[in-house]
Amino acid sequence: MSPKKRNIDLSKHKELKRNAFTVPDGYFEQLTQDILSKTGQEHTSFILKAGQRSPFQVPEGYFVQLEQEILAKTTQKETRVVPMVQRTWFQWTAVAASLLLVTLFYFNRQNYNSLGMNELANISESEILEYLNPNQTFFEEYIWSHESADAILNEMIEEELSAHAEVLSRHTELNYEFEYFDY
Amino acid sequence: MLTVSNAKQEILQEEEILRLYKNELTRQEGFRYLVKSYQERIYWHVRKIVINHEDADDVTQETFIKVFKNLDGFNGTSKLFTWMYRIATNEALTHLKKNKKHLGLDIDDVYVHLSEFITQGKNISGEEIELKLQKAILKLPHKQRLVFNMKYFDHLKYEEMAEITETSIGSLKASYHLAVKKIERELTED
Repeated sequence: MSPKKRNIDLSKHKELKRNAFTVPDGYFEQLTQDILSKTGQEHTSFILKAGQRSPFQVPEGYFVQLEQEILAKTTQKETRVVPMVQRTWFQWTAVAASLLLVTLFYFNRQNYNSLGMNELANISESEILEYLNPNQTFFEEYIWSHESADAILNEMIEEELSAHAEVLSRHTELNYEFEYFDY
Repeated sequence: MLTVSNAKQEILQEEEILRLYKNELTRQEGFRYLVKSYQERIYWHVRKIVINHEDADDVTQETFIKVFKNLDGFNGTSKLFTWMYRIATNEALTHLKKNKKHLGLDIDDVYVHLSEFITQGKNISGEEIELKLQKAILKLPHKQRLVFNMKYFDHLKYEEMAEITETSIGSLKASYHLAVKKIERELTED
């Protein structure tokens, strides 16, 4: 005679709800680290397994601070607008540097080329005129050369424009308006 | 089962996680909080589907990587946990399908294969009746199996299960009822 079968009612056997599965010791701590590591959301650049100690130390709260700094810097990098403060600083530095150069140049010229009032008093008028004449010639030569440079440039531009006009007359398809795209 | 205060606490926890995650400065903190809050529940859900610990580990990690990649697009129409549970379920079922292909087994053979894991007892500490229950669950069609696990072990509401499985509540109730009857019969016959 076979043994009598026992009917099982799941709702009356609460013990069946116990978890039959287990995990290795410390598994969930390691799982957290593995997930954070794979998603790049860990605080440290490397993960020490349970029980391991890093031979290096950092100041307390360093990584929190570092993370905030990196996030702040990466956020700033993404913005394409140049901050007003930075631009102003750059402009003022450029102006200051230019002024400094002009001042230095002016004083250097004075030191090398000019004489003091007392020294000039000892020089005769004829000697001064004699000194100024060659300089006058130099300035005249400079102006002349400057004017001729202008003339040469005008001539070049004229040539370029006429060459351009000639190309356009031969190739009418090149005669179009440029479009400027705002990127 | 979740009590009213537990459910309220869970909602507050989800809100806090999302608040932290949406702020660039506290994003890492938010994600860490999310992982710590849900990894065990997600793991156990996955483990009951794939049975083997190593596979459950892989699937759980994959689930959280997917959660991380898609959390920006989470629109809050469902609970955060339900949304993650759904991702985990998909990942676990996809993993089983891959296994089936990899081992050259059809889906029924996969469950026989998984049943062997239970017999081998690696990372399994249950009493004989609990192991029998797990083997009986493995014999269920995969949808009934999923519904049974979510209702019997995880105490999810039918509304939540409907969101996760995209199935009507009526169909879920029928699936659960059939699963219970099959399991009771299986345990009685052995």
